[in-house]
Order: sequence, then C-alpha cells, then structure tokens
Amino acid sequence: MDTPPPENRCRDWSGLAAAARAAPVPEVDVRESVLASLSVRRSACQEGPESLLASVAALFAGVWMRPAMALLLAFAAAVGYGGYRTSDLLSVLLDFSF
Amino acid sequence: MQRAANETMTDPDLEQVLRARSGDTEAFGDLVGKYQPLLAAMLHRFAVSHADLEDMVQESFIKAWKALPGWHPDLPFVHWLKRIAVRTGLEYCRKRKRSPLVAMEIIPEPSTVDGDSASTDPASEALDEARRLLSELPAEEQALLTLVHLNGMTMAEAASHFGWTRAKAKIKAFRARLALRKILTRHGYSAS
Repeated sequence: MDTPPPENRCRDWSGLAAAARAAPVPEVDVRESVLASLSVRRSACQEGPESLLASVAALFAGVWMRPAMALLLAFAAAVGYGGYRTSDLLSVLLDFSF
Repeated sequence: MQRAANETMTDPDLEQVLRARSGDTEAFGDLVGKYQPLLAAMLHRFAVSHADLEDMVQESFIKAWKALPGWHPDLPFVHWLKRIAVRTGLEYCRKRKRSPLVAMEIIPEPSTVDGDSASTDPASEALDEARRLLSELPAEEQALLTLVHLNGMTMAEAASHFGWTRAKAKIKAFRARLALRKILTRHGYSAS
C-alpha cells in the first residue's frame, strides 16, 4: 500500500530512524518465567530415560495399537502368502515352458 | 595461561556463567535479571507488541540455557547472548512473514510503554512507522536493517551477530539498502 507519510512526521528515513531509536523501551521481567521454564525442562530431562521406555510401553499398550498391529500382521501375512503363491505359479509356468 | 587470566579479568560474568553451565539455575536467574534490559532494548525494535517482546526475551534466555554447554569462555557471555537474541529476532521476522494473520494486518499494535502516553509518543509512532516500512523487506534484510537503523549498530557489528562472513554481510547489506530505497521511494520518503 503506497501511503504518503503524515505531514507531522519525518519524510526523511534517517530522521525517522533516529526518532525510532529514541523510543522508550518497555520494562520486561521474564526472570520468573524463565526459571519456571527451566524447572519444567529439568524435571522432564530427569524423567527422560525412564519415561522414554514407559512411553514406548504405553504406546504399545494403547487401545488403538492393537487393531493397528493386527492389520499390520494381516498385511504381512498377505504379502507373504502372495509371495508364496507367486513362486508357486512361476514354477508351474516354468514347467510348461520346457 | 595468560590468555585465560585475561579472559577471567575481561568477562565479569565468567564465574556466574560457569556455575549456570554446571546446572545452577539461580546463577542463571541472576544473569537473566542482569541482561534482560539489554535484550529487551535489542528486541524491542523487532516486536510489534509487548507480549511479543516478552516472548522473544524469554525465548532468548531459554535458548541460551540450552546452548550453555556449548559456550566457550573465548567469547564474552554478553556477546554470545546478543547473538542468540539476534537470531531470535530473525526468527520472529520469518514467522511474521509466514503467518497469514500478519499479512492481513494494516496497522501494527502501537509500542506500549504505559497505557496512555504510548499512543501519543512521537518516538513510539516513529518506531511503528519504521517497523512497518522494514517489514516489507525479506526477513533477513529486515532483521539486518532493524539492527543497523533502529538499534544503531554498524553493519559489521550486525553481521557478526548473525555469524555471517564479511562477503555475505556486504552482499546482504547492498541488497538490503537497494530494497529499502525502493520501499522508501514508494512511500514518499527520501532515503538519505
């Protein structure tokens, strides 16, 4: 959007930048929130190794995992059976070719 | 050994940083209290709201905490911290460019000092205007010129905070100035 600057403001970039540099900086106090965040991270790290195993175990204990694993096994079985049938068919074809 | 002694003398925060690096959160909290005004002053020129400013300052310190094991006493802590803050500012510029909500903004929130004076403070209005103009630049160039024009850093100093080589800094500076000149011309400013 091409908007001309208001008349009461600097039309010169260096003047505008100089005025901007003089803008007061608001007070910020993040000490407590930073320390609180560090405490959370620290306890998460301390639980880390144990919680990883626990979380993996929980993952496989989840209700949704059982049907997913069943489907995966069924898929693997289908692939295996398909491979077996294919090899069977190929051997028949080879018999006919000679 | 002499160098190490000199470093100990030149970096007043060395002892505290080493304690923080070994896990002393109280020591790190003291560093936060000491340097949060400095980071606020740097990042204030990036942030369009007080909440964003607080987030950026907090994020900078949390990043510093996580990166403390990699800090080397060769580099004074305050310089190292400023580099982290500059990268936080750069990420902020990138995020604002990516956010579709930001793209719809016509007027950014005014800089907040206190409730009433901020809206009539000419310096704060100038800062908002300058930020608005710089926001039309690509993120890296916006961050670079924010440091140079609004924070008063030299180009070399700003480039060192980004960790750029001298050649890259020159190219970035050249492109940034060209792009800014076009933006200023389009908005009726002189680029002197």
